[in-house]
Amino acid sequence: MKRVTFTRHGLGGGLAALLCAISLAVQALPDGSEVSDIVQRGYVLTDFRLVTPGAGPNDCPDGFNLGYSQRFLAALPEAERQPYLDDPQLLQQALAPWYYDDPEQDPCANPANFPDTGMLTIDGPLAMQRMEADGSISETTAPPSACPAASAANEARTIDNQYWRVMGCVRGYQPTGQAAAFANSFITDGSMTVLLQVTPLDEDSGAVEVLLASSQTPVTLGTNGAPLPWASLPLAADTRYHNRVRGQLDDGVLVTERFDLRIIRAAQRLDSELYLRDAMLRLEIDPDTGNASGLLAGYWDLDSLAHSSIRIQDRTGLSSGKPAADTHGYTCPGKYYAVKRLADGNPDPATGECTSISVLHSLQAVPAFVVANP
Amino acid sequence: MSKKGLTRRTVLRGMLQGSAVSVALPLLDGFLNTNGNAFASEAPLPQRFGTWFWGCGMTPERWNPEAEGTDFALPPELQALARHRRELSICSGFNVHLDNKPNQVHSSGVVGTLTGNAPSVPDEFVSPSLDVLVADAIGSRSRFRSLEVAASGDPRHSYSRRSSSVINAAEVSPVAFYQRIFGTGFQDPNARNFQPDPQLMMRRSVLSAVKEDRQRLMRQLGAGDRVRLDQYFTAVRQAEQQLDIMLSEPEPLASCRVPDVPEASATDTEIDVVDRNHRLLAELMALAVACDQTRVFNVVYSPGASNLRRGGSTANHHQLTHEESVDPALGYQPQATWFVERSMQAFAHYLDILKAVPEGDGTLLDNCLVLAHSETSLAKTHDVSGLPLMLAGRAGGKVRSGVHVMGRGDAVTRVGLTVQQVMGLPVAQWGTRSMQTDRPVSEVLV
Repeated sequence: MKRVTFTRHGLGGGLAALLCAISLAVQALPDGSEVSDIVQRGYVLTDFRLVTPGAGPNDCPDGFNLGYSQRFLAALPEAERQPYLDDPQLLQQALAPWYYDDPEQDPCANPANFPDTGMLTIDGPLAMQRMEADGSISETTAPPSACPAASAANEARTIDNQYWRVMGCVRGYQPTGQAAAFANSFITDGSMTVLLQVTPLDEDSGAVEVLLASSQTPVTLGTNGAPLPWASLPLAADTRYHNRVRGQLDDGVLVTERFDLRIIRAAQRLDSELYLRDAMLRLEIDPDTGNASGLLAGYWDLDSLAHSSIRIQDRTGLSSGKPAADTHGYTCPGKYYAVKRLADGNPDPATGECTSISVLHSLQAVPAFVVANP
Repeated sequence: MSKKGLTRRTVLRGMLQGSAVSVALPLLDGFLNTNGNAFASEAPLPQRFGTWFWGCGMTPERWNPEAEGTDFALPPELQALARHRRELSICSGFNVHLDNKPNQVHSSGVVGTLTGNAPSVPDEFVSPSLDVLVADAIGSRSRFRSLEVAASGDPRHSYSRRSSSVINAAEVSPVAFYQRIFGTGFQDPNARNFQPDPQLMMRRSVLSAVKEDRQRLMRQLGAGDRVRLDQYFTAVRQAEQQLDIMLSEPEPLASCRVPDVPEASATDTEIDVVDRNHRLLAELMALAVACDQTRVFNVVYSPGASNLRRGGSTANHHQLTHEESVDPALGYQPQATWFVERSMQAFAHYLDILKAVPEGDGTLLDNCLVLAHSETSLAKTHDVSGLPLMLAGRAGGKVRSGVHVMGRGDAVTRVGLTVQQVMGLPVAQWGTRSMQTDRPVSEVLV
């Protein structure tokens, strides 16, 4: 048994210390050994969103992508457009169906069976945040990240944000667009609750174990509509959504090793999961408030991406992909082939094609009591 | 106290060419008590409840007043209601709590507000909507238990529902709505030559015959069919009550006047057309209420996921809420907010119409309580927290107006409970799960 004493990184004041003291627990570590009297810090995410820095003036020289409605209108001779401009229902009917009973017929449920409609992406050198192999953040100007050789391991690579290159010329993915507005709402409306727990393993070395997990209990909101700190929130019953990884905590900055991550990615009536491979978490803990903020980098599995971000299946089993694509301003096959073209992670040994794409999420969190399942 | 011998049933009698004739009198002050708020017989003036719905909510930072209480400035999206600020209360910060159910987009907000329960599937009404609850209590003494109109042109745009499948469909044509109210079957309350309609008497007896067979039939059915048949007989009972009213001599009502038949008008989603139909439907609705044809009235200006659009544009309000970027300089969506401002203008016009009808010592609006609501706050994210709600009118003096109440995350059921208690329903608590409440919004109660 190894005893670890409590250091109050990031927790100012006696109240925080008292609350943390309540969370003393006996923990089973991944290697099976036990420690007692360790102090865990629990958090609930209050903000979790894709890093979408916005297209610069020269990033999209051919403009933004068009959604289904815009493409339909653009393809019509000008003289034939007016009836559709006068009657939106006519336009909706012309593009029907928006929801398909047969997934085989749905270009969003089954984009691989449809021809590439083309998608404008950011293909030039780009200055944007990337996570280096040591967990630090760089922002140098760099060309697109290429799909590495099948023998290359992700561990030693900088994690780029190729997904932004795919979506950078999409109207709805700009910082003031639909995607950014929706991001946090999924937390506050109770669709998606993500918990973090940091367990010190060794005070001297700063080694910690990090648990990043879904909860199926909605966050508790304060009177200002923001998630309240110090709520007790249980882990999701399904242990597939409990992701444990070792990390290092130094001077209030936590960096994890690489790990595969699955969390529930529910969004209002939509239901899916986020599956990142070779992910890394960098978390900074505010010494005054006890709140945490950071970046989660990783390689988004393309099958998972296609399901959750192109097909966009709702809880009735129907794909909302086509209306979502039209709202944001892209087409499903266009996005599907663009993601494959810019994929830069986990090359298939047989084909050499990459099966994941780098992506960066930002997150913010407030303290919470993470309640383990009985 | 009325003048001696003068009652609301007083008529002028005389002889004309050898025949007895009578001439009815309008509602005179002498018919009223000294306060002007009840008939001299001490029967109170009727209380009425209405809803007014608009789709796609608002922009929180441009709709929610900052200050609480009575001394608050109207933000930009509420400016159109400035002339009515002393006649309505603003309720901000009240939430539909989803209770771990999915946010059924453009449905959870309105269903939660009207039933006190977050739906598991879209448009799931596990209990009657608020207006139906009120209509069951106060609507049985008027010709129509409730009336519904939708300016947006689709009869399905109605949130007045007894259950998920029993919908009080909206009237969308002003001409058809006129015919329904003032056409066949209308008894002018100020006409003192009341004659029961023999056809109605016949229909009434037919319904009575059906009623007498009810118990025999019910015994032959399984549980599911008994429930279905019970719903049917409930409707039959309601029809009988309405026929009773139509076979009774109505109260004279000075504020009641029969309008001219409106001109036929097209229905469309273009906002100017919707505005025109809204005004026509609202004027008819106000007179239907003034003539005591109904005491519960529901108006949909635009549906959830509002399909209103500007002329010449294919992008409707709903699309704009999602597709229009937030203007970085302004900090909001300028096109989407335009539709919110137009919706508030329409509500202001609606209140103008109710206020223009004199009644007793005040106006029709004074004797109404109107709940205006939407299905989201910020539609861009389908947000069902901080829903925009307004209570207009004074419900015959039972309600304070001109107040801004901040719910601070409380369940929206507090507003629904308040409405029910004001309208006299013996309800101590309302709502399900975390939306169950026993706390009315006391700030608006007299």
